[in-house]
Parts: sequence; C-alpha cells; structure tokens
Amino acid sequence: MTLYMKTKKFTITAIGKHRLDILNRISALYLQKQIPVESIVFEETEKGKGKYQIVCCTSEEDSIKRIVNQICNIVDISKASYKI
Amino acid sequence: MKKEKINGAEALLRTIEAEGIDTIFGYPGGTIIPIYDKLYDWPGNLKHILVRHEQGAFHAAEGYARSTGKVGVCMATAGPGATNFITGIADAMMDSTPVICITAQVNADKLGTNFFQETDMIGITIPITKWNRQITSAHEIPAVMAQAFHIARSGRPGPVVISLTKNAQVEMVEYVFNPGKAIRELGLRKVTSREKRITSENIKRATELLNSSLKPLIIAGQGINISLAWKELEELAVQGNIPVATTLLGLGCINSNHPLNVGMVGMHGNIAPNSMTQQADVILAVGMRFSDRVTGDIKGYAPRARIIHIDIDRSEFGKNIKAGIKIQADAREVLTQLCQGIQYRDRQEWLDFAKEKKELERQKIIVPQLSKDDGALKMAQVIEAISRHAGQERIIVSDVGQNQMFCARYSRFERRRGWITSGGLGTMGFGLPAAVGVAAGNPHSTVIAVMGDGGFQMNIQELGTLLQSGLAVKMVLLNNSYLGMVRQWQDLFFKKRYSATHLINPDFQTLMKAYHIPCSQVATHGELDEKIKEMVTAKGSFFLEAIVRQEENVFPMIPADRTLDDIIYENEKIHHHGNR
Repeated sequence: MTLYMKTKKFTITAIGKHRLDILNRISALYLQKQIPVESIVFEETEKGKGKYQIVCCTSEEDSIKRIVNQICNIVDISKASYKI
Repeated sequence: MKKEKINGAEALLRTIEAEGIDTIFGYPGGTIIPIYDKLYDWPGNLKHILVRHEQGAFHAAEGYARSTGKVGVCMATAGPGATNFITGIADAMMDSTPVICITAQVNADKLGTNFFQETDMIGITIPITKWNRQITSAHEIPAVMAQAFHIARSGRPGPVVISLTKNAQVEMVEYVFNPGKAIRELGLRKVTSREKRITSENIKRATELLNSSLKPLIIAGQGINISLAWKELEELAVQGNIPVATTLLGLGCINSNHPLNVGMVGMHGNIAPNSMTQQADVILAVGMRFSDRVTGDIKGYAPRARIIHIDIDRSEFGKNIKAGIKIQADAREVLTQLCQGIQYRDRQEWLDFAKEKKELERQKIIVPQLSKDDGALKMAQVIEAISRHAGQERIIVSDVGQNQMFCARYSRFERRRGWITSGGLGTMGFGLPAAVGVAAGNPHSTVIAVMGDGGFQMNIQELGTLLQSGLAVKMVLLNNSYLGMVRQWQDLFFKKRYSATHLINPDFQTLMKAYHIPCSQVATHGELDEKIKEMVTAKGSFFLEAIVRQEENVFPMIPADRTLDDIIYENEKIHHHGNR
C-alpha cells in the first residue's frame, strides 16, 4: 500500500548576480534531489543583479528547505527563500 | 601599485606566489605549456612537484592543504588532464579541503567547437566545487585568482576550479594585484546584526543547557581543525567536565590520551562514544555534519539528546539530524564564548559509564586484536607498533578501507593536523599521493602512509614522484591480498561470496628496488618492532610491507541499516547496547 503524499507547487526566489553559471548551479541542486523543475527564470532588477525564480512541484518540503540553504551557499547569491 | 606588462602565465604564477603558496603539484601538456615555460626558470620561491598522474597532483595538493592549513594548488593541461582531477575535486568538496585546481583550456575562440582536448570543466565541476571560473583573457587573472583563493579558504573551505584558456596564458597584461578590491567586488554576504544577536542568544541557551546537563557529550569534527579551535575545545571540555568524542576527520583535535577523550564515533568507532550518544541528554556537535557513517539509522540516533549544532555552513542544519539549537558561526569563536559561561559539574557516573564501555571494548576487541596468538601478523599490531616507535611529530596518512579503520582506531594522535585521510568520499588511492603532498609541506615531520594493497596500487605510479622529488614518505603496506573492507562485507552480509575481492599482487619488494626505494618485509610480530624502527629511522623514503592475515575483520561495527545500539564485535552477532 503506498502512502499518497500531496504535491505542492514551490517557488524559490534567490537574489544575486547575473552570472552564466548560477542557473546551472541552481538546477544541479534540483537534479541531485531528483526534483523536476517546471520553470527557471532570471529577471534583472538592477545592472548585473536580479532575482532567480524556480518553480517545481513536489511533496518533499524538507528537500526544498535544503535546496534553499544550499542556494544560499552559492557565492554570487545573497539570499534565498521559498513560498508555496 | 606598480604596473608592468607581463604575459598571463607569469601573472598567474606571480599571483599564486603573492598568496603565500610555495608549492604547486602538476603535470604538463600541450595546452598548459606557456605556464610551464614560465616555471622553467622562475626566479621566485615557487616550487613545482611533477607527479605521474593528475589525480596524484590533486591528492598531493589536498595532503599539503590539510597538513599545513594553507590552500593546496595543482594544475594540469586541458581535456583528459583536467578530467583526471574530478575524483580529487569531489574528495576535497566532501572533506572541505581548500584546493585551487588550475586546468588549461583551448583558445577562447575555439570554445564549443569540440576542439582537440576541449572539455567543459566548468560545467562538469559545478556540483563538486565551491566556485569555478573560466578565464578567457589575461587581464582577468589577478582578480579572479585573488577571489579564488579567498573563496577556497574562507567560510567552509572547498575546491575551486579555474579553467584558463591558452590565449589568456600568452596575452600580455599590465600586472596589478589588488586582492582587497577583487574580494570586495565579489560582494559576499556579510553577517547581519540580527544574525549576530540570534547567535549570541543561542550561545547563551547552549551554555545553560550544557550546565544543566547530567550526560553531555561533545562530538568534534573536522570543523575544529579548520577553525584551529583545539585549545578552545579542550578548555571547554575541562572547564565543564564534559567528555569529548570525535568523528573520523576530527581525530587528533584532542589528544588521544586526554582523560576526557572517549574515542571515535561511527560505524567502526569505539563502543563508549557510540553508547554515550544513545544515552546522552545533551550533544554539542561542533564542526561535524552527522554523516550516515556516524549516525547509523537516523530514526534511532541519539533518542534522548537535545542537540546543539555548531557549524559554519547553515545547509548542514537539519540536513540529517534536527538540532534544537543551531549556531551558524566559526567554531573557535563559539567555543570561546561558551567557555565564558560553562560551569564545572561533577559527572562521575557518566564518566564511569565511559570507562565501563572502554573496558568492555578492551577485553572484547582490543586485546584479541593485539594478541600475539598464532604468530600471523594482525593489522592492529602493525598500527600500534607505529604509534610506539614513530615520534610525536609524525603525520599519519591513510588510504581507505580496513587499513584506514585500523589506523583510526589504534594510532595515538598527539599533534595537530597529524591525521590525514579521505573521509566523505572514501577515495581509494588517496594515501600515497596525499602523503607526497604532506611531505612537501612538512619537511621536518615523519610522514607515514598506511595503505592496503588495493588502494596502494590505485595511484602506485606516484612512487615515481617520490623518486624524482626526493620527498621522504615512510610507506606501510598492510598486504592481505584482498580488498579487505569489501571482503569483510561479503563475509558478514553476503555469505563469504568473495566476488572480485581477491588480489593477485606483484612482488612489491622487487618493484621498490626498481624505484630505488629502500624496502623491507615483515610477516611475524616477533620482528615487527625491529622493522618499524628500521623504517622510522631510515633517511628518506622507505617501504615496509607487512604480510597480514588475510581474513581479518574490523570490529566493532555498526551495520549500515542499524542504530548505534546494535554493535557487532564478532562475526554474526549483534550486541544490543540499548539499556545500561
């Protein structure tokens, strides 16, 4: 018998520099946790800086919390948070 | 700042030297020739150690970094030279070792064309680096290298990959080195005053919790070594009368013979600290990440303890084990503040529990493993003899497997940075090249590399590095003709079906003669002391092959799917330590 776990839509927002490799670093964190990303968008808010928004569906809120903490470790990211 | 025009290769080497590095480990190739050309008659203090495989260069840089506290530097050519670094980079990432890994790359205008020896090192190493950068123009070099060094060594240290295109090596640039400006441009996040206040409050809460605790346990990890917090750790333990356990990488952060040192936690750790973890009411975890090797089944880990977790990396909080108090800060700073409020409390009953478990282990495991019964040499005897005869300034480097576990359990650690091993990735083949790096960084210490016959042969080509460099490494080979740890698991859990674990080895003594390395062999405990003394007192490198019994197992052991209450100390029997 499998236990049904409700999936939710999570949006992680990360603020940082606009750099080539940051999208790859962020998506690698989802890949590591086997969470498929629905969309990943960068929006420039000032010259060379902006916000990254990553949307996914998962039942694993703990994994999302871990991803947020790991995104904060990316050198060119100043902060990250998530909402459901 | 004085400006002068030099080429990118020279700018790179000048920057490395300005960062206080005196040794680079590397292997040349076509794409990196311009840098090697500059090294050929380099006027400064920078020394290059030529290895025999790029993986050897990386592990040597790790050994250098871990034993000196400096950043290790290695370099290689593009393509396969660069990709040969991958295992090492992953190893450094897992064990938080600061290494700058410089790989050459094809010309910038050829990127993406599948040019000869082109590989996307930036893309490949994203998940296993703290940071990486592609430099495509010489003017970027000084600033990017300054940033690379800062990132590699600061916060939680780790590996940084710099991929340097060939054109960037040969272009001319006005050399200006301003590391302060370069680091400011990174725009790194600063700790806010709100975060400082929360940290302060949490330290106060932690102090109160520790002071009220009847059965506290400190578990100290690699973070103590990185933070140089040895004195503060001992002060806290003594002031509060709190026993200290260490992780595998934390060994040596408190002297082995310190009365409050209760041993090593984990899968092959000591019975006392594993049992104490399960009975503790407060655990102070400092600079450790609750690896699965330490916790066993997390559902049953430390069931009675409130956990205080101190780590520089907030992503470790709650990753494996949830902590009641989380303190994101440098271990040394936190321990200093804890020392200000910690109070002595009599915990004789708790310390007697530790003594009781130590005595149990001594009788059940240590005495049998050291006993000279039928004459065949045991791994524990060899390691114990090394500890008796090698001086206090010894640095033990181990490979991975049974040799590593026996080393961890039977060595006595009496100096800081005296134990170098591959922990998180468990890289076989780490031992010999890491020992080369340790020897390069510590010319006045006795460097002893303990290896099994499997791991030794994985980077055996680095014997050539010893021959050419003249660096001194005392090598001890625990030769049981098996991949010992895998064979142990096959013995305990796969009904002794020894699939692909038996090794037919070459004549290592003859091989040493081919490399002009003095060597000896020991097969009985009767001649062990004499052979170890011969090795330790020999000038230069020495190879001692210890023929040990083939089917020896490392005990105690906590099987991977069990809790710390379930300890095996002989084949097929789980001894439950759940109740006192």
